[in-house]
Amino acid sequence: MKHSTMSDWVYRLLLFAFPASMRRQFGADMAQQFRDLRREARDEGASVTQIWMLAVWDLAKHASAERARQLSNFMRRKRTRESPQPGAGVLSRPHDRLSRSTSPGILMSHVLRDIRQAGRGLIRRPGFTVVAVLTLGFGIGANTAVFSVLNSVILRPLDYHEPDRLVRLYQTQVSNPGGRQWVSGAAFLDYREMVDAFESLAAIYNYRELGFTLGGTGTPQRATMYPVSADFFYVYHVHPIIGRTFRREEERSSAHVTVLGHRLWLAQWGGDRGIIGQSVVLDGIPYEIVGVLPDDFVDAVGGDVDLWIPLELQDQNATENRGNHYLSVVGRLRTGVSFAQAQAQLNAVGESLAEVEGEWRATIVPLHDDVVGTSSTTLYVLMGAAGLVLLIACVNVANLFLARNVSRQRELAIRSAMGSGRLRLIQQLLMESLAVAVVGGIAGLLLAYWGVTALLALIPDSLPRAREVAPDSVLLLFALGVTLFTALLFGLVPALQLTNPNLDQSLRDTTRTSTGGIRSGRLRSVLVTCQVTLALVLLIGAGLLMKSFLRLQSGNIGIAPQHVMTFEIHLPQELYPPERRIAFHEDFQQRMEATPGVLAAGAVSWLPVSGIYNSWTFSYLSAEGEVLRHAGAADFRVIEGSYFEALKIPLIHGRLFERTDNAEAEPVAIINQTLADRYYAGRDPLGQPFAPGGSRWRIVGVVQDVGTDLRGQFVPKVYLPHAQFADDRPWALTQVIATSDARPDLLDVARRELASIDAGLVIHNVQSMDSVVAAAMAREQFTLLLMTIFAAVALTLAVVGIYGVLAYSVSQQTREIGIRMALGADMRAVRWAVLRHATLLGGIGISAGLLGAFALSRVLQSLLFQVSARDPVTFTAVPLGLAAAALIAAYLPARRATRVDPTEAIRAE
Amino acid sequence: MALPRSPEVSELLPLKPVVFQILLALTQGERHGWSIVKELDKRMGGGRKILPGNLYRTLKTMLAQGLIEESDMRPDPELDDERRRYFRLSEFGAEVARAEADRMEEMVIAARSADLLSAPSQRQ
Repeated sequence: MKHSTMSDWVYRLLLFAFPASMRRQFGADMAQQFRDLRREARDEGASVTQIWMLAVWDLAKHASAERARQLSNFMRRKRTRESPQPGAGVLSRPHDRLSRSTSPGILMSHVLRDIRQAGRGLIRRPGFTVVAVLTLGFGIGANTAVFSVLNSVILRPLDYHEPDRLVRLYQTQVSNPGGRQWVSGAAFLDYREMVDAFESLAAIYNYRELGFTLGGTGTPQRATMYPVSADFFYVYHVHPIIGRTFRREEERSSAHVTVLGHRLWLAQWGGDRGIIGQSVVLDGIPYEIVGVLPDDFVDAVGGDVDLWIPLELQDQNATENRGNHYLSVVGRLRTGVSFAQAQAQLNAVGESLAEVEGEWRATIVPLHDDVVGTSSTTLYVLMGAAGLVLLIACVNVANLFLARNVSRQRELAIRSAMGSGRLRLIQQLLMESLAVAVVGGIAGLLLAYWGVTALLALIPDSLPRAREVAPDSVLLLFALGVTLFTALLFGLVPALQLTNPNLDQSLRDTTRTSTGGIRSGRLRSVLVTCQVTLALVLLIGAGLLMKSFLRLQSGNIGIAPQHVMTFEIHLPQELYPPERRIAFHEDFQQRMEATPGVLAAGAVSWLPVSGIYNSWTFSYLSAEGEVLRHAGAADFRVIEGSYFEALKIPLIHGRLFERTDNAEAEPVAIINQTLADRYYAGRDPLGQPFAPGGSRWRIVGVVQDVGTDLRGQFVPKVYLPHAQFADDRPWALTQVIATSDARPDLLDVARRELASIDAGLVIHNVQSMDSVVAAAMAREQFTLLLMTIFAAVALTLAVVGIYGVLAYSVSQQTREIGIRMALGADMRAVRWAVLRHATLLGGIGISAGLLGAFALSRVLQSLLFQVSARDPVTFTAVPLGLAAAALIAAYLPARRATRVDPTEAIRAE
Repeated sequence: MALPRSPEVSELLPLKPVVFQILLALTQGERHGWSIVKELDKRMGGGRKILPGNLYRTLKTMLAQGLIEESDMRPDPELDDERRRYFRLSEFGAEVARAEADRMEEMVIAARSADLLSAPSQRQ
C-alpha cells in the first residue's frame, strides 16, 4: 500500500469538485501528477506553497468548466428530446418564451454571470474579503479538523468485515453487574463450547509482560507478542497473506508456531515470501513461522502487536482456576442472531454454570463501544464547541456583509428600479456569500489539513483509533455541507434585509441616516448580542475545564515524580528461571544505587497513575481465621528493591520489605491505607493474614495511598515482594530510579550496567515519572487546549463585533451627536449614551449566554474533576471578564463620539 | 500545397495551442501524463507547467474527439506502483496534427508575403 501524505489527501478531496465520471477516469493520474509537481518543486528548491495555490486555481477553473460543460450537454440532450413536433404551430410560441426565460440554460447563464460578478466584487474589496474568508476559514477548518477525528474515532465503523457483529465478552458478578472483569480460562472454554449464538469466540492473553526478545542478527530486539486462541483471526475475518493461522489442536504452549505481523515481517525479513516453515528464535526457543498477516490488520483489543502464538488452553492446570480472570474475549455473532438474543443465551448458559462459576456471569458489549469507550464525550463536546465557533464566525461575516450592504443600497435600488426582481437580487447577493464561503471553505480545508496534523501530534495515546484518522468522502461532504450551510446562514439575512420591498426609499433618501441604515444597525445589534451569547457559553466551558485542569495538576497523587527515571527490562523466560530473575533485579538495583547521585532504585509491576491493573480478588481474614471480607477486590503490585523510597511513598505503620523476605521466609505483604480502612475497619491490620487463592500472606506494613489515576482515585492495593512472588509469572518489572537532580546520563549508566550483567538484554519504554504523570493528563490537556483556542477566537470575534457595531453607530449618529453637543450636551452624557448601547448589547448577550451555559453544563460534568459544572465562581468571573472586555471595546467609539466637532458634523451633512 | 481536408478534420481547426503541443509530443511515441508535461515544458522552454486539471480535461476532450487513444501498455506493477495511464496518437489525431501544421504553414507564408517575416534563408 502506498503511503499517502496529508497533501495527497487534501488534493484528492479537492478533486471531488470534478464530476464523478472525470474523477473515476483520471482522478488517480491527476493526483499522481500533482505529486510529481510537488516532488519536482522540492527537488528544485521551489516553493511548494506556490504549487498549491496554482493547483487550487487550476482545479477551481477546470472543475467548474467541466461541470458547466456537463450541464449544457445535459440540457442540450433534454431540449432535443422535448423539442416540439413539426406542425405544432404558432400556439406553442408563448409557452416557449415563458419556458425560455426560466429555463435552466438561462438560469445557468445568470448563475455564471453572478459568479463572475461576485468574484470581481470580492477582488475589489480585498480587506473585506480577506477578513471574511479568514473568519469563515477558521470556523470551517476547526469544524472539519475536529470532525475528521470524531468521524474516524467514533462514527466510522471498525475496519473489519461486518463490524456490527463483533462483540467483547466480559464476566460480571451478579452482585455487581456494572463491574466488568476479564474472563477466566475455564469460563472461556465453557462459553465457547456452550453458546451457539457466536459464529466464533476467541481469547487473547494481552498482558503487558508478554513479549519476546527477538534473537538472531545484530542487537536483540523486543517484540510484542500475545498468545491467542485458534479462532482469533477468524473472529476478525482476517486472512494471512501467506501461510495459515492457528489450529485448535495447537492451543498449547508447546506448539512453538507463530504468526507474524506485517510490520515485523517487513522489518526483519524484508517481506520475504519464502519464510513459511522457517524458524524464528524467541527468547532462545525456535518457533516455526506459519503465517503472515496483511498490513492493514490492527487488533482492536491488543493494539500494536508484532506476533502471535497459540494460547495454552489444553493444560487443565493453566485454565482451571476460575478466580483468575486473565483473558480478553472477543466474538462474532452468527448472522441473523441479534445482540439481545446472544445476551439471553449467555444468561441461560451462565445460570447453568452457576455451580462452578458461583455468581460470575457473562455480558457482551458491541466491540465498537468497547474500543471507543469514554472518549466520545470529549469529542462530542469539542465538536459542539467548534460548532459554536462556526456560528460566531457566521454571525461575524453576516455583520460584515450588513455593514458593506449599507454602501450598496443605492446600487441595488437602481437595479431594482430598472427591473431586476427581488429574487434575482437575492440570488446575486447569495452568490456573493457563496463565493466567500467557497473560498473560506477551501481555506478551511487547508487549515483542517494543518489542524489534523497538529491534532494528531497532540492527541493523547489514550484516545483509541487515533491512528486511523484519515480523510474520506464523508469528510469532504461534511466540509461541503458546512460551507453551503455557512453561506446560507450568513448570506440570507443581509440579502433579505437589503432587498426589502422599501428599497426605492433609498433612492429618495440622501441622508446617511436612512431607514435602511437604522434597520441594518438594529439587525447588527441583534447579531452582536448573539455573538456575545455564544462566546460566553464557550468561555464558561473553557473556564470550567481550566479550573478542573488546575485541580488535577495540584491533586495529591501520593508520589514525588521529580527526578525519577523509569524503564522496562524484560527477562527471557527460558533463560531466567525465577531464582535468576530475583538475583538479576537485586544485582541491577545494587549497581544502580552504587552510582553517584542515585538516591534509590527499585522496580514495580505497574506504575502509579497508569490506571487499574492486576485487580484480583482476595479473602481477608482476622488473625483468628474469621473471614472479614470474602472476595474483596484489590489491585496488587509486585515490587522489588527500594521502590517506596524512590517514589517517596511514606510508610504509615509497620515495616517495609527487607532482604530477608525471600522465598524461604513467611509470605508477607504491605497494604495501602484505603485497603486498611475499607477491609480492616477498626482493627489493626498488622499481622492479619489474607488469602489469594490457596496461600496465606501476612500483612507487615501499611503505606500511604498512591493515585490510580490523576483524579486521585485510591483503590485498595496490595504490595507483594518480588522475591516471594517471582514464581507466579515472568513479571515485567518497571525499574524506578530516583536521583538527587536531573541526570541525563543515567540511561547510559543503566545500559552499561545492564550490558555488564547480560549483553542480550534490552532497556525499553524509557520515561521520566514526570512524563508518566503528564501522559495521564494528556486527554484533559488536549481538551483544554482546544477549548481555550475556541474560546479565545470567540472572545476576539465578539469584542471586535461590539466594537464594529458601536463604531458604526457612532459614525451614523455623527450629525445627531453634533447637534446635541451644539445645544450644550455634556460630554459625559454623550459618552454614556454610547456606553449604554454597549451595556445593553453586552447585558442581553451575557444573560442569554448564562442561561445557555447553565443548560449545557450537564454535558461537561463528566469531563470535570472536583469542579461542579455550575461552579458559581466560574459563572460569575467569566461573565464579568467578558463584560469588562465589551466595555473596553465600547470605550474607543465612545471617546470618538465625544470628539465630534458640532460645526463640522452639521456642515458635513 | 496543402492537401484537401476532410470535413471532420476542418471542424476541429484551428487547434488550441495546448492540443497541438500534446499531439506533437505524442508523435514520438506513447507517453503518460507526467511525461507529456515534461515534454511540453521542454518545447515551451520552461516557465509555468501545465497543471493536472488543465491537462486531463484536455486529454479527456482529445480522447472524446478521437485525436488520441489510451494505450494498453502498463509498467509491471511490481516494478512501479505508480500505475500511470499511457496515451498514443490515433490515425485521426495524426491527420489533424498534419492539417494544423499545414494551416500554420499557410499562415506563415501569408505573413511572409505581407512582409511580416523575413524569408528563412535570410535569417541570421
